[in-house]
Amino acid sequence: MLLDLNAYVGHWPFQQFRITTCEKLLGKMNEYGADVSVVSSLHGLFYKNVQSANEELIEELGSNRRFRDRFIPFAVINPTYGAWREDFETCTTKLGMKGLRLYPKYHNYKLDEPNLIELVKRARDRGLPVAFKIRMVDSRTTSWMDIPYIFESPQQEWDLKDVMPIIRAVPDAKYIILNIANSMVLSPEDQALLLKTDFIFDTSGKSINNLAGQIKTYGKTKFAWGTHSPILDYLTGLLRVESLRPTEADAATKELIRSGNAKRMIGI
Amino acid sequence: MKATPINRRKFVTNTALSAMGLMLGQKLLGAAAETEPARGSYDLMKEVLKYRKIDTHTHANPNNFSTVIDTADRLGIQKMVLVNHAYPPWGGMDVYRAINDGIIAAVKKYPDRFLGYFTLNPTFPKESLEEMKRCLDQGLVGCKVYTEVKISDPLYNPIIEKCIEHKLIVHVHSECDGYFRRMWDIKIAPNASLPEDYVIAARRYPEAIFEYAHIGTGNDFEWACKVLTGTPNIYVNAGASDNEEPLIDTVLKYFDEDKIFFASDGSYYQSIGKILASRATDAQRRKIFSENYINMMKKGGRHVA
Repeated sequence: MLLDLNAYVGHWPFQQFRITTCEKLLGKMNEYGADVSVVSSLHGLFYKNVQSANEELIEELGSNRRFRDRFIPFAVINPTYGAWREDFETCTTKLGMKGLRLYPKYHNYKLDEPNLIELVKRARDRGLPVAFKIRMVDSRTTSWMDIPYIFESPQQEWDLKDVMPIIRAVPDAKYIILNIANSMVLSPEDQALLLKTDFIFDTSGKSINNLAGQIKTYGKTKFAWGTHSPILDYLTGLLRVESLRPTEADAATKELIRSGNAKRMIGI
Repeated sequence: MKATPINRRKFVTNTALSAMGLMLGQKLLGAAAETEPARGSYDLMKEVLKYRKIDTHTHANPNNFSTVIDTADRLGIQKMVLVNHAYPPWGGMDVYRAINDGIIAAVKKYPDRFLGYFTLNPTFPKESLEEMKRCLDQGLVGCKVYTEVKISDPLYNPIIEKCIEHKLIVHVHSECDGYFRRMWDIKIAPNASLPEDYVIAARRYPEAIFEYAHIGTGNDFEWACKVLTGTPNIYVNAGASDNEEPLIDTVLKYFDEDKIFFASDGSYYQSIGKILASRATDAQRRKIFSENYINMMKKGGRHVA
């Protein structure tokens, strides 16, 4: 089974990408044999009221029976916007969303923000995973209207270490770290903490450049296939998995990365 | 990829959408009862290994030759072009000779795996031409320059003219005048060659062959394509770390399909994944992965495959 842990539905406001709808994503999934995609709204992260985007996504998913068993929706929540607690409740109970994707850089809050910590604790208490993106796009090619986290500027793109404050604050939550780019170096204390944390990297990011070695470092349960579609091409994340040699990953390990680890994380 | 078949109906009983279906039941019941098309069968590694590949842009040194070759073996890359270069602050020609010595040694040690380009500093015109001759005599097959001098700078002219004489490709590090450069200008050197600089040089020397390097490395590929299109003596290599979904199809839209090279710049997975995930036809993929480079080199009398 193939489960894409890192896909979107919608538009990116600064550049044309093509796989923008459930219908188009389903076509791509069928072309390459993917069974299920975890999706959230792409353009929704730019809405002031992101709940509107969550509702749009659910409406699109409900518009065609063919979407019913192929997509798993994650909610985008902004814990600094009004009534976010109600949004969290609505998404995770009434709308059946199975996890959260959070965007501290786009929604302009720090990872020690009290509301974020409260939100992650609420997700933890429901057994829901919380996903953070290291980056949406390469800052070197980004738009002048995008966020000013710029490669090698005073306010750089995130590294893995930039996710650690929330993991330190709520170490017993479930985390998904998506599109891992840039440095993965952590302090010895953070590295030890991360290894004890229930987390997954998806395989879409360019820092997954030696998956065999990274499995040795983090363990075979810490990786899951992801595309970062529609922004990145559909196959690179999968190539990192499928090109593993039998001596590096046996059939069972590959199956964990194709879907098993993500299924366990999502609780399905 | 050989994904394990599942009973999707069984799977869905535990998913969010089945719960959502209960909650949105009336809406779902009203939805059109489309039937699911047959799922495609796709063997990714079979596709990867189907194509002969020449990586026209990579970097390696004695510390990682074995790792690089191992990765190439894993992904079915038969040959790689070493384009090592100097970094600022620029040293004297002795620095360039040392880099070139390393490339020459690599090509001699692994003749079936590596081709090599020499690197020069056009601010040392006489010494650069002497170094070019030395490297050609040692079997290197192209010219790589980083950001010492813009490709449109007249200092470059003697080198381009010598490349024309020897039918060598002029491969220059490229960058693009996007937001990153305009608003921050932190990493990019002032003498980095932009697409606009390539066009100036290519029109000045229509008989030369230029290679716009790594259109996927921090470059705004749409900007680059729009500027470079219509300049027939500019080839483009499709490396490297950025693998935005539309990249290859955009390059195919703006460039002659015979003038696109496969290249990794060390980002091997992205460089292959984005081609296989594109809408390029099988014939176009064969051209990009190796045939275009083989044919271009044949024009200079060099047989690289």
